[in-house]
Amino acid sequence: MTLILVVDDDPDISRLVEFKLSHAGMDVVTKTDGESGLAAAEQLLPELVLLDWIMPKLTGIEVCQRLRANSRTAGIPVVLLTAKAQQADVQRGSAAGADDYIIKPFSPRELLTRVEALLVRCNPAGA
Amino acid sequence: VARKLNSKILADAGIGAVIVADGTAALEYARDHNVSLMLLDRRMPGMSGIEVLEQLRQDPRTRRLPVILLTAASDTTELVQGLDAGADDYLAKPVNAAELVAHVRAVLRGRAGEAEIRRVVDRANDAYVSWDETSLITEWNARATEVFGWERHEVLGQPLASTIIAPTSRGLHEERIRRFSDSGDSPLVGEWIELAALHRNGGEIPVEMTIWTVTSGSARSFHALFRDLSRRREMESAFDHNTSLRELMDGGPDMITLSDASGLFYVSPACRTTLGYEPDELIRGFGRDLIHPDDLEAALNAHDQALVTNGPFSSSMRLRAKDGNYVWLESRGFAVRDGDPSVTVIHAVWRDISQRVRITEERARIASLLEAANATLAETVDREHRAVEELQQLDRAKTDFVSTVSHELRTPLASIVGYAEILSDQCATALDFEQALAVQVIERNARRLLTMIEDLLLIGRVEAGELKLAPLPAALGPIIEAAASAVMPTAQAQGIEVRVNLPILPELVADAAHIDRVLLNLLSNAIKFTLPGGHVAITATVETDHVAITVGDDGIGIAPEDRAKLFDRFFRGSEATERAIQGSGLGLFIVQHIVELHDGSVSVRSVPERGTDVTFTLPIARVLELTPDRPFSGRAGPDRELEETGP
Repeated sequence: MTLILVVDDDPDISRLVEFKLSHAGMDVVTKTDGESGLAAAEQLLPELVLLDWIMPKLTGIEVCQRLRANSRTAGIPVVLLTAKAQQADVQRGSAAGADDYIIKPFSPRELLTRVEALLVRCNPAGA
Repeated sequence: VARKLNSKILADAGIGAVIVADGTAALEYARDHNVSLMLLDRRMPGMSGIEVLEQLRQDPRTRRLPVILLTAASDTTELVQGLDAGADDYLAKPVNAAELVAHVRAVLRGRAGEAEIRRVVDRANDAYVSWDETSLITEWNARATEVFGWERHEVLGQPLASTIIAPTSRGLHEERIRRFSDSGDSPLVGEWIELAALHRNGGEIPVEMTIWTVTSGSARSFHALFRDLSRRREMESAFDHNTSLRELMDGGPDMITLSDASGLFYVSPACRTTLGYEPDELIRGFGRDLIHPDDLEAALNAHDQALVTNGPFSSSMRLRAKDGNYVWLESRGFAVRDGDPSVTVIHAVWRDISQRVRITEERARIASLLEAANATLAETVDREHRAVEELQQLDRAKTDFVSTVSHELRTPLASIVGYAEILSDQCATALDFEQALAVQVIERNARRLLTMIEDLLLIGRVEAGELKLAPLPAALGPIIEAAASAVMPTAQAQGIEVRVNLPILPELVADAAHIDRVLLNLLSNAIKFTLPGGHVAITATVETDHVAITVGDDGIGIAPEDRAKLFDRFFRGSEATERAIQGSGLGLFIVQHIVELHDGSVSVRSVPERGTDVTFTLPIARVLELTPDRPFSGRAGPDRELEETGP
């Protein structure tokens, strides 16, 4: 089964994402801060990571940079899920190595579509 | 042998000596020569040493000559006798060489102070003469020789009055000496009197004279300084005889003075108008007390400088006029010396410069006022700068606040929007009609809230000057079509028809996302203010240098009193309030700024109850010189116009 890691300090959002993705048949693990999110990513090696930007301990950007710096996690697709909606923010996100950028509030339908598209794009054989 | 031996000893010590054979010769030599010291043998053929000593001491010319008596050892009587007769020192025979030199030096050293005073007195510009109580001259300096013609050694011991006081002035002189005896010095010291002196050649010399006395034990000595006034008298006389010069000086508007070391001797009558004094008053009474204390030092320096350099000078000072007020005067002139340093004459022209000084002072006062005003101004400007900075800081804080709040609002909104969607998607079959309607209301209002948050953010960026365009070549047609499609569901839900009627449009350089925003805002307004069954139309015309896009409706129109405020932030028309039409009042404000950033303009035509047309233009004639960094330039652009048609 496809394992998705969701890291967001707002449990309502984590649960919303988990609800939508698990209904689509994916396995979802949620974490509430950057540090435990990074640890979980390194331990579980999920198929995709959804990261909030502003979080306690490590920010989404920092987690993303560390994932990219580690050869075991460097290939995992990362989606930033954030309320930071300005053009400059999006650019900073992709500079840190994020594959996609979803602005809050978002449509769960759209989120699912983009996650699925990214999984196909990054791992065509595994789908 | 002994004498020669003594002479040799002294010569070896660098002291010159003359040897004479007996007392008579010694007295003669001492009278006629400038002798520093006499070594006198107590026992001599003819006159004894004591006798010689007594005679030396009686003669004013030799009275002060140091004498060392040579005596036989152990003869105390001789010793006491010698000292009583006026010997300064004694030596016992046989004389030891070192002892002789030491004693001679000691006595000479004792007289060295006197010699120093002598040299000073000799160098004085005034003639110095002193005499004793018997009126015999005891001292005489080099200047006295120049004035009176007598050599020092010729007059020492001579009676003062008959030697240098002219017969016509002797009465006056003796009267003065008597007054000294009666009253003591004090009232007379420093008082200069004029009298006639006598020259060696028998001629009379006009002099000024001042006297003081010195009392030493019971003896009293008299001392006097004499100033030669001959040159001055000559000049005065020449001046008196040179009537044309005199008239010239007397008649001039400026005060003219002539003075020498002893003071003013001519003052022109202009002093009456300049200072209010009579010329005679100034000649008699001009002194440093007339000079303003603050100016005294500079005035005296200028005067002394003129005497030293013997040339032109100028100085400014305040002089006290007769009425007690000070008058600013500028003194210009020159010092003239005819070889003789004592008779330097200073010619000076005095000009009243009160006016000039007043102007200078006034200028300085104005300058200092200006300086103070400038300082105050600079301070004020500085304060204003700080105030502006504070305001800007406050403004930035507000913008940051708006931005932060907007971001913070997004997160809870994400839950509302997300879960509402989940409800309608995932649980659609489980909801009855009313529940489904409730979810729709939640979704719709969540989106409204989101639009408002986005508007607020945009305005925050506009006001912070951070709203920047990303202009790219853009096809206007598709942007308009897309915007129309986006509002179509809302319009249809309200029974409003949206029509798009476009000609072929040229490609523009524009920020497509922002133009989209403009169109959405205008369409949303048009739909809101149009009644069911009404129409909204998007049309465009291509002019030579711009495209004009109009969003028109046949709705309720805009009340005339609201038109002026249409583009204000948060402004909501009276109709909107009355009819409870929802909105933030930010739409047109944003439209105007985006259009102006594109160098376009917005205009509104509206007739109440008939409808409203909002037209915005975008330039095409040139490639927009918009750089991505160009910030928002200002709210009220010159292009902004507000057209209206009457009802």
